Amino acid sequence: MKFLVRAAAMTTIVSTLVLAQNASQPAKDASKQAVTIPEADAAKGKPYYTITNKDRQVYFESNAPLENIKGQSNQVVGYAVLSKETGGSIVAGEWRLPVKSMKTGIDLRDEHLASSDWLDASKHPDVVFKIVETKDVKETKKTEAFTTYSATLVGTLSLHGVSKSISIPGSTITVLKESAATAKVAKGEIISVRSKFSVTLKDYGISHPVIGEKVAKDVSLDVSLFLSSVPQ
Amino acid sequence: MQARTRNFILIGGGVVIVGALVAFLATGMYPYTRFKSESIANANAETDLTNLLAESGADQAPPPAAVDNVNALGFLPSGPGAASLSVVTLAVPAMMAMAGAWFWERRGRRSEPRAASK
Repeated sequence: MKFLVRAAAMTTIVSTLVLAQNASQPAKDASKQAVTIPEADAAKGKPYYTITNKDRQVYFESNAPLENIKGQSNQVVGYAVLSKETGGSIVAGEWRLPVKSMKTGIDLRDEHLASSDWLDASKHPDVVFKIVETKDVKETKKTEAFTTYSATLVGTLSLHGVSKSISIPGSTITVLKESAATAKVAKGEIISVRSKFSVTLKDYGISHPVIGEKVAKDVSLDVSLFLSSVPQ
Repeated sequence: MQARTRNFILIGGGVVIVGALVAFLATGMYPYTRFKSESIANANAETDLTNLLAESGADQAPPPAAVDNVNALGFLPSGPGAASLSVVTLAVPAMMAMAGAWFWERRGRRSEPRAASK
């Protein structure tokens, strides 16, 4: 009996050591792209640039009957132009999420996600959200340090080569004035944009036999972007 | 098959199955084997911007959830190489070896009386 217990413990230790030694390699940094704001967009207001490679920016979740898949990225690159007249109103913007930066914690699954069966990263390397306007902007809180607004983001989501117009109600936009506190984290004035929405895979031309069983028909996204008036 | 070999297979198989189950339970009972990712670890460690917002007192929902970043022996394998380790890929071969040893033993027992009667 003692032998059995010792041997079982040895197997457990060996499995644990193998697991510990095989931590996956860091992904290539997909954020090293220069952000260029088209002149027409820049002319609409005050431009802000995404602060990339820091806090989590996108979290996605697929809740299917047979499997629950969670993933994240902090490699979103882009800009937003804030209206100079209407506080908290984004009048133009574009955010690019590199498909290969989406990490679920399982390397093979990440490869499948980027493959031609799913998001097809070779043909469509980024998920792109282009903001056209912001509706229903309401100031919800204001202090000396910041102003928070609730709003509906309106734009076009391009995924898997298909572009569709979407509206994201219940979004939160917070403008943090430049201060000693913000300077510790990033240069310039900072804005935070928070949105939650879901994407129906079928709408974007993604079909696969496992959709509805191991992958949900609708994938929920939680987006939390920070942008600065000074490129970081 | 010698009794010693048979016992080794039965005990060894049992040990592998128990060990795999213990590792599965101890590492969080994930459906698939997974390994820590440096990119996920880095993203989860960065909280400066979220903290800045929280400290300012702005109305904001909690930060987006984080993907679990752990080394875990899953119930099923998640790829080639080390990711092929899982409860199923460890336990099934062990069970097959144990079943084989058991059948060999039964076959040996049946043939013994015939050999003795001759």
